[in-house]
Amino acid sequence: MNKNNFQQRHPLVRFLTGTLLPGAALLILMGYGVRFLGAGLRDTSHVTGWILFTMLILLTLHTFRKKLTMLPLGAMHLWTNLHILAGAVTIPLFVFHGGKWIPNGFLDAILGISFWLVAGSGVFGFFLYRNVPRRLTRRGIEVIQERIPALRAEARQEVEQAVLDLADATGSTTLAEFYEFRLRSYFNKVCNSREHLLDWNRSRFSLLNEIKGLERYLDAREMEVLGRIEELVVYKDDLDYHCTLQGIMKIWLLVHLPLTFGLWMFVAWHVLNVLGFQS
Amino acid sequence: MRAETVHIRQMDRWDNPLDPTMSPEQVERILALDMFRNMDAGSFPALLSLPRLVLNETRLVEYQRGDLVVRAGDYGSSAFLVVRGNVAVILPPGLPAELLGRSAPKRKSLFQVLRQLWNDSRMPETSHYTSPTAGPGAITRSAGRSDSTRVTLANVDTLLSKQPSVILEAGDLFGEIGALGRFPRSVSVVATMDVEILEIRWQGLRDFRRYDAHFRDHLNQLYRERSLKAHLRETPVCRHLAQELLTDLEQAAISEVYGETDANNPFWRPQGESPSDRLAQEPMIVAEGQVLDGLVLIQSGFARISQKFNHGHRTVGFLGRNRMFGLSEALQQWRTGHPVPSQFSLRAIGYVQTLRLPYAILASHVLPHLAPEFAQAALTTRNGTVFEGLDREDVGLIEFLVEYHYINATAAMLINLDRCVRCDECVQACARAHDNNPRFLRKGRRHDAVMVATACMHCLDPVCMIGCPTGAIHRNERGGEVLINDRTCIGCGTCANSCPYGTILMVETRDAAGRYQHNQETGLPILKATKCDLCLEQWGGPACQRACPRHALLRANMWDTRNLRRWMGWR
Ligand code: SF4
Ligand code: SF4
Repeated sequence: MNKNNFQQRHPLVRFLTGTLLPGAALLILMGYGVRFLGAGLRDTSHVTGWILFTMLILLTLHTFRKKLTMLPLGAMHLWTNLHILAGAVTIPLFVFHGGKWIPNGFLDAILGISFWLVAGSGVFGFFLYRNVPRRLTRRGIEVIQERIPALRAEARQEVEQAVLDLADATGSTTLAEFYEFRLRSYFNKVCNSREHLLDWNRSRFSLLNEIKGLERYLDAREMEVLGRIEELVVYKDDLDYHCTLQGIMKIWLLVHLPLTFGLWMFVAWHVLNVLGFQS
Repeated sequence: MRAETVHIRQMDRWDNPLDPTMSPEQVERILALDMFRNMDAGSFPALLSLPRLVLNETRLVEYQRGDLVVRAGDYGSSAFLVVRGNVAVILPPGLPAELLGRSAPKRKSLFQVLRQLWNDSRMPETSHYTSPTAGPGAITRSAGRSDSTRVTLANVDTLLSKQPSVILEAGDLFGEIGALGRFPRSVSVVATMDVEILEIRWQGLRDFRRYDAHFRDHLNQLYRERSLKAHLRETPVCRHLAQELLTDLEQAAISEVYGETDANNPFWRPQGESPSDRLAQEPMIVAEGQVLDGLVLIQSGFARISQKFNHGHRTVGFLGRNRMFGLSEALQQWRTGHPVPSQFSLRAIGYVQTLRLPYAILASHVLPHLAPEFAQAALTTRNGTVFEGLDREDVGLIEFLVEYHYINATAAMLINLDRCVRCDECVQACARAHDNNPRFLRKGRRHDAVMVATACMHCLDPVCMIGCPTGAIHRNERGGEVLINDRTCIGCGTCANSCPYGTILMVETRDAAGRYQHNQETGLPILKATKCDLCLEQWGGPACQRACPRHALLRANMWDTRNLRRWMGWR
């Protein structure tokens, strides 16, 4: 029985074998292609330019493929792998084509900056998409992002109601005051993104400590409510964590796509310019 | 904001007779047949009287010589009674596939597929029916019914002369095991002359069995005889045996039943605080260390294979219909001459029917005829313990799949949360393929990083089909997928309540103008059942799986362990 089937390959190994090595192979092939097509030409930038242009089209097709799930055009994850591979190849090709990191001339320099923004956001997205899902999984809960505001409101209402009921029934104000001064703002806070992005965990940690400290002032009935409050504090923190990290992944897409759109405008201008110059 | 409502009459069971044109004279004629004459009409409740059941759940069908009445491999939901003439049951190996005229499920055209891009409905769930008062003809029968396509075999005599077959005559019943047990048909049946046949929908068969003791006994006897025969023939170790050997085996085989016998509850789950408490409640079929006298064949249900591990048991595999346990021990005993104790325990999950072939007959009739490669493979795979020797965490996943009966799945939606970027492309692709109404929820039970999403798993044993009064929920005749016929679903919710995985949603319906439909008598909303249909109408298979950018989603057949392992290995 082959146990290896069950073993997970390290992400780095996957990246090396699935993206980097095939990418390098593609690049070498392209180099030979350029040499072959450009044989006898003094300037091969036309050849590299058109290859680059083709790669950009390939990269952009990924977005259109997403909308055409009803057509049997191959599974989306294969397109994603292709997108990553093409992206990895495009970066050195761009440098090779322009001869520098940022080309000369005002508009070409803007095109260069625009390219690096798209490429940079792509690389960032690559690592984001490999890192964030694991972090979310380890949090234990699983929520759909659109449901988070409603779930947060439910948790807040439950705490509020429990505290009010308790104050009415026992006349003790310990938990009511704690709610007023500490919990209300905590439960009202949307996402608490800064803390979760930096992985501080400060609010959760200090609130749980304070909750522990309250125990000495409570009777058995209040202790029961406090136990539930503690659960809901943790739950709200988990919701915030999901809200932040799922949000980041969505925002990333909202950045990468418009940047790509901007790049295409500069590329179109550049191509027209080159064609005009040729004629 | 709620849309305008319209009041119509709620459909009920009697609005969907199998034959809307059945006349009172025909009912009289059917009731005069031996099978019904022998029934005690007084034992049926007034609401489900015998004549009413006959009127609603049966129909007389004429078949011409050469017509296929039942095709091997189909999932039918009817049984058949020969009224006039003869039919031939084609015994294995059966008719060639091309002769069976299997038609592919109807795919959308390229234009229809592309139209989904801009034609997404803005309304949730519309319904095709207007009101049953429009007359019985207004509701078209499912395309999956036997009358929708009829395959006629040319040269039936030549064909029959080449095939082993059994002739059934007037008064003989067939197809009842497949209809009641939700099994694929094991044989084809062909009309040898022009015949008249009474088709009985399984809901009718179920009620006849429930209320008439004589018929129940008759069915039980048929079931034992026919399922035993068919089952032995389907079993890999007996498949190539000569007829005389098989007959001896049939006589020696011991039929056994373990666990809850309530057929409506095959997914009975043991209760208990700890896993070992729950395990202890699962009836033991074979205990680890016990000297196994022969081979255990699973006839129906699921069984767990486990092995002692310190103070507990570790699940290392599972078995279902047609799988066997104990072959490697029997082979070792046969080779060495010494009894070999079982290395694993076998327990019934819920309700399990088994056949036990005693060692003596195995040694004389079966083992000497096994192909050497087959015997070698049986020795090494050790009882199909497909997950033996896994890491502890992987065993945990298998325990989870067994404990929650996900082993029933042929297309469970597994999501690897370590890869899932929560983009919901899967949900959107599903919505695009279904008029803007996604057919699953991206939530469900999870074990570690694997989530089983709430989507129909197209079960091996689809419990949802038990109790549907109109047969709207049915098996696709070709692939066995469990589908709901929109046009005959009366929205009673029986399937949704029966599905132990909660994957069927009852949704309010609207007419084409977007008005909510309400029952004109009760004023209550009219519902219909919806669930995943595995995108049978789409090109390229399930849209959810194809749309996932990270290969985080797999429609997994739990019995295709190779694929399952490969996918999990990609975590
Ligand atoms: S509806 Fe439920 S029981 Fe029926 S096939 Fe789907 S998952 Fe199985
Ligand atoms: S498409 Fe894949 S990655 Fe996106 S939510 Fe669905 S399973 Fe997760």
